[in-house]
Amino acid sequence: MNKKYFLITAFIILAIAQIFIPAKMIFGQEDIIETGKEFHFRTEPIDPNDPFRGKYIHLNYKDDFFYNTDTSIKWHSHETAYVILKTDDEGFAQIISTQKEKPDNDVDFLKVKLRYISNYSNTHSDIINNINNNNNNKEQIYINYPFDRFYMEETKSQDAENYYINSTLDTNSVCYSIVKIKNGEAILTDVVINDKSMKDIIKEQQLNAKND
Amino acid sequence: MISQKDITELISVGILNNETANKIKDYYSNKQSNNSNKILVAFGILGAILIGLGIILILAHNWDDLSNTTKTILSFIPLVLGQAAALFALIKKPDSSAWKESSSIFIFFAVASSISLIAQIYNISGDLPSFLLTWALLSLPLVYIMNSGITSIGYIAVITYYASEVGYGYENENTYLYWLLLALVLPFYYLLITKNPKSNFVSFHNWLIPISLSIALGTLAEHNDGIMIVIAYLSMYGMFYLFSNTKFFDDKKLISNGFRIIGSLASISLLLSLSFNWFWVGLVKDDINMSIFNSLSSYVALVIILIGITIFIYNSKTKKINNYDLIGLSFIPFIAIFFIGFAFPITSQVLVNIMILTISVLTIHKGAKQNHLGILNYGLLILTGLIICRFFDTDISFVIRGLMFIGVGIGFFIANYTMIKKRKIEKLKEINQ
Repeated sequence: MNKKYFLITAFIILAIAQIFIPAKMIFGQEDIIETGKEFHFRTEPIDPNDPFRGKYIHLNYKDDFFYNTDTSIKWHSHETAYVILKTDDEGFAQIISTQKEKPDNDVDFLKVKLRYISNYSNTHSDIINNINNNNNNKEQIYINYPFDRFYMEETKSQDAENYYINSTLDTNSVCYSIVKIKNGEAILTDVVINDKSMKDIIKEQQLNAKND
Repeated sequence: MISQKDITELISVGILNNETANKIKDYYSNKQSNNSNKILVAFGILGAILIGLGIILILAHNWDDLSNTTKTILSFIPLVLGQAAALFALIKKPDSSAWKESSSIFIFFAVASSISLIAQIYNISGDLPSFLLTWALLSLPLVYIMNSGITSIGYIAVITYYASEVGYGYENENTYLYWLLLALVLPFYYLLITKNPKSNFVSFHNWLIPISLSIALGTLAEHNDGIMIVIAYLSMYGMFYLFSNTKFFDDKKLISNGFRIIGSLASISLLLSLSFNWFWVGLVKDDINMSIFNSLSSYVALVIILIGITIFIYNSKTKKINNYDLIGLSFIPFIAIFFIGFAFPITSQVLVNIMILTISVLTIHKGAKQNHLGILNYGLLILTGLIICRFFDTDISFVIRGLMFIGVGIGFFIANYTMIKKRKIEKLKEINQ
């Protein structure tokens, strides 16, 4: 009998833990959404899917690298880094500096993982830009933003992808993601194409298609 | 199974008395209820897995019309339902493995689905390894509390996935956690083979554990001095083979003994691949220095060798072994061959070939002695494998290669023919007596 009660107690503790861990994730995310600071990151999405979590749009970020200006600091691929952010004149997030230690809470920063380090400029225009900005021959360090997936309802992600491909052909379109950031942690809340939420655009499109 | 009609007939002619007839009936009805219980467990588990996966897929649709709060609550419902079923099983049906196994495997999937759904709702990219780790840690206690073999199987699969995700590829990191997590489930495996050796879960574990270890061991090889991992692998397969000879496997069918099949086939395959000269030439060319002894893979190899030898000593103390197979112990001469290879690569290559030849001859001999066609032909297959490998070495003349093939082909015929003939003669003798 004792063994039975022991097992039941152990199971109840386990059951609470099984609920508590996901619940803790939820509260953490809700807190960032409520109290985090909003940033806009310029994006270029494409669409894959995940067997566990369904369809999502994979977001590629335009400004996903920084130049290592301080050669005394040695960076390695896959290490954790803290990027300090500001909003530029156009309203988009911009990396102003990067450091290995966690910054104080009086600056806006984001915890990221470094993807790879490149000593080469990729394109001709990159090279020209680098020479103009005096960044030539500096290490270019690429980062992985921890918010590169935007989940969509399965019937909508294909339309979203098609819409995005069309809008990238139009060089005037502006595409960015809205991200809340608090204490280094980030939550992606929406993707915006030309001032309209991706979700609303697709809803409208599907409604129009039905009416046609 | 004996039918009621047969029993009545046997009683009527006086071969069986009523008491024995009743005992026979009881025996078969018990056996039948055991079987139907097994079927119930199997279908219970299958049902729970299908429903669990179905729920994950439906929720993965990502219903846009539902608010985040509704979606969050929905993501917990399967988990809570599974927990309620498991609690019911613990309180009301503590002896029903069908209830316990199916509710546990349902919770196992529900845990994964609720974590995934929260990641979906909040667009968390989340890395796969940390998801697998959380999943494994939240499922492990189920194995012990619910005494659930199927959850243990799921758990081992998840940690193996974790090890391969973390340990291989571009962004590889160390996999120490995998080894700790595996060690945490091994006491359950021990309980299973000692207390419930006839259960099907034992057979599944006997396959899954060696497969998992085979996948994970490679993650311990470093880029520069990982060469010692070859010794570690061969020793591990030898260890599997030795372990499959322990008393726990005495009355197991070969198909339930994954340790033996994997240990034997993998040892032979590894040795066959080492019978080519590329490995030995590379050993000299790469200018490997003494630092290989101070590497993780050499410590791992040492630990495995020690465990293998311990199992061997344990076996020789607990069992009478007349005909010990060289396969299980091939790692011991191989260590010497490996080090000879640094100075004389060709000698090592020749020695590996001789070792495989010896194993095949001993296996053929064992098959003939035990009058076992399976073992006999396995030995011949090893020999054929060796000859096929040598077929690729271009510096042996075509005539010699041709003669070798013809020789083994004739060997197959003669060996099988003589054995079958021998059996027939023995049968005739028995009948005549």
